[in-house]
Amino acid sequence: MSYLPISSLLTLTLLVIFGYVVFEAAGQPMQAKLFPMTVGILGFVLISLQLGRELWTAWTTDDTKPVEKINQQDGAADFAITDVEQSRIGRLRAAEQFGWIAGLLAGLFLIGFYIAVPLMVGLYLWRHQERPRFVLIMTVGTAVVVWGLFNQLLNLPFPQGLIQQWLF
Amino acid sequence: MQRAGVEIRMSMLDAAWAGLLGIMHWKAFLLMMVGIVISSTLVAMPGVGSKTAIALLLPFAFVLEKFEAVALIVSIWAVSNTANSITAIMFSVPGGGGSQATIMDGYPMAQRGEAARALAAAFTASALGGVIGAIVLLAAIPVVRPLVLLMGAPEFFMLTMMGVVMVGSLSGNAPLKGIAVGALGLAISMMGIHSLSGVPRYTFDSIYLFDGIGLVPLTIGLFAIPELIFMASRGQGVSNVELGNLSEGRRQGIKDAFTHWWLVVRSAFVGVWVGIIPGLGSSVADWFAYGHARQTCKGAHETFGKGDVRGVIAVDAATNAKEGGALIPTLAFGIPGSSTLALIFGGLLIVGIKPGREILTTQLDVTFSIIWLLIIASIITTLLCLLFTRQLAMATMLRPSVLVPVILAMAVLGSFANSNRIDDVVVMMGFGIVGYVLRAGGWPRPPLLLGVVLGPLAENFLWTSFQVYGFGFLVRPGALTLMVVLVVIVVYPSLMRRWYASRNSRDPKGAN
Repeated sequence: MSYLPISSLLTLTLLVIFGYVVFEAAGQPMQAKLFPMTVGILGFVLISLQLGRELWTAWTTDDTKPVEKINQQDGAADFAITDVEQSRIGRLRAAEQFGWIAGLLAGLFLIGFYIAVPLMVGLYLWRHQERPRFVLIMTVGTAVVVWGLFNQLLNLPFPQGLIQQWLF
Repeated sequence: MQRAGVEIRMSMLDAAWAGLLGIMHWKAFLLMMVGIVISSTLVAMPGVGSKTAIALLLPFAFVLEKFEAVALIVSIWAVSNTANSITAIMFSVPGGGGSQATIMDGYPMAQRGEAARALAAAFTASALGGVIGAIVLLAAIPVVRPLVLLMGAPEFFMLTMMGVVMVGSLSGNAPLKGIAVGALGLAISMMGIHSLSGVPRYTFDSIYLFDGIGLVPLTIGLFAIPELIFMASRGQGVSNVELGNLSEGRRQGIKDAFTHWWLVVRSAFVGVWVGIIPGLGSSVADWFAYGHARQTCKGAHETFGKGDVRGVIAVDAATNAKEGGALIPTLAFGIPGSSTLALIFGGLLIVGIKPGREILTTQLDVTFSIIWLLIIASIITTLLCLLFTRQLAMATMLRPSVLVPVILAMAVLGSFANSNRIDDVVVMMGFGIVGYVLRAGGWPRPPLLLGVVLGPLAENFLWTSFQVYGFGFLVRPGALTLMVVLVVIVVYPSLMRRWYASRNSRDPKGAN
């Protein structure tokens, strides 16, 4: 037998979410709770079945035998994950991308859209060893698009960063 | 007076003319061209796809007039099946779900120096398929319209649930996961102040969540961000195969599509049929059409898979014709058959166009504008693809180090444009993580989006049904019939899988 696989943590999280959907809906008037209760109970039952299935599979799996690889997304309307993406280097690269996203978000709050977005483009290209001239063109081009197209033409009111607010 | 004017149901001919005029206005036409160019370029890159293209451009549709928004949104989608043949034929990399079978004969043709012929045949068949799909949609309107008018809230509620369940149950080997993710989408759609009772639900006292989760940041996060991460984690460009000579054989390819016109028509009908059934989609349409062509074309068993142009023609005609078929349940019954259609559906709702009863009565001109767009956009895309095949193919040579920051920047700006709030960017990034985790864990993402889009409609139909009939609405003949169909949809695929598995274990030789 095997212990509960890590992938079941997601199933467990979903079970908690559906439990919460039902729990919060319970105290509301009929008009507001009818649909949440319907969906919540349905989701809870489905996820319970899925979790039961995963537990059963883990319980009955013989560790001494090689595991048969089943692609859960065979025929699915979604791209299946590839072996490269599942490899250690693939995961490290994915982690790096999350770092870039988090950095961009922090940049948006701290220095605002006008600086953070072109800066991210420039730094990303520089980190991946693109030619300096290309990095410069792309950075300036992004700054022009953010300011010219989105702010001036489409009137998007980008908020100032916290640092600018503090300085000025 | 105005109300009376709205209630007048336009005659089909007037509506068709009004729809054509609407999209031929210079601004709508320009937006259609923008949609075509952007979509053709983006879908030519595997991993980006039409969903990402629509998600990135959807925020800009909010500020547009009715026909302009329709022109932009529908054109992106209508042409997405045409350009994705480029990478399939030239590099054996499917550009999207619908171009997998194109590889079977397209790539061998490219390998023996007939890339231009294969591409031209694919583009022409795609345009012809798109036109046939639109004609079928046109013919379906007079048939479907009275049927829609006969239905009440209970039937529409069951139909919306059927849409979510169908897409969920057809999500690979884990239908339970698919349906559960669909239910999660329905739950997410409930966030915010309930429009009927004014009660805040699942808002966690956040003022931002009082308006609910925006469709645009959610979609960009769910689809664009994980694709970017996976693109970067693969660490290589879309393709690193050298581009060959593409100018030769173009004329022959166009001629091929017209020579095999009967195959085009047959495959297009296969595509339409697949499109009508929610949840199937391009990745099924192409293989159905390929299988049909292999069984019915003379000498196909010897030549298919080795570079037979008929294999390319059949697949591309079917995948583009599918879109017309898929629009029938989407527009008439409000059941988008795929996540891309759910996005279109959401986009239409945002600009005030409500699929279902309204779009077939008071907004019939919009329906016709969509049909016109399917025809015009398919033809223009084919001409553009034929003219700029080389340039489009070059887009696939871009490195992830260039693509990732540019698309990430667009994702951030597009999310912010949703409601001019930085919270939308946070939501987008949050759903980026959700999308990554779902995909990495083998949980399908399309049902979630479908649930979010259909949630408010389903809730309204459920409440109306409950108010009128109580729980008795569940035993109304129409609702009961649809419920039986729903159960069959859920149970049938797993029963079939078990039956095949037991048959194969008993008789391994007869498995195929």
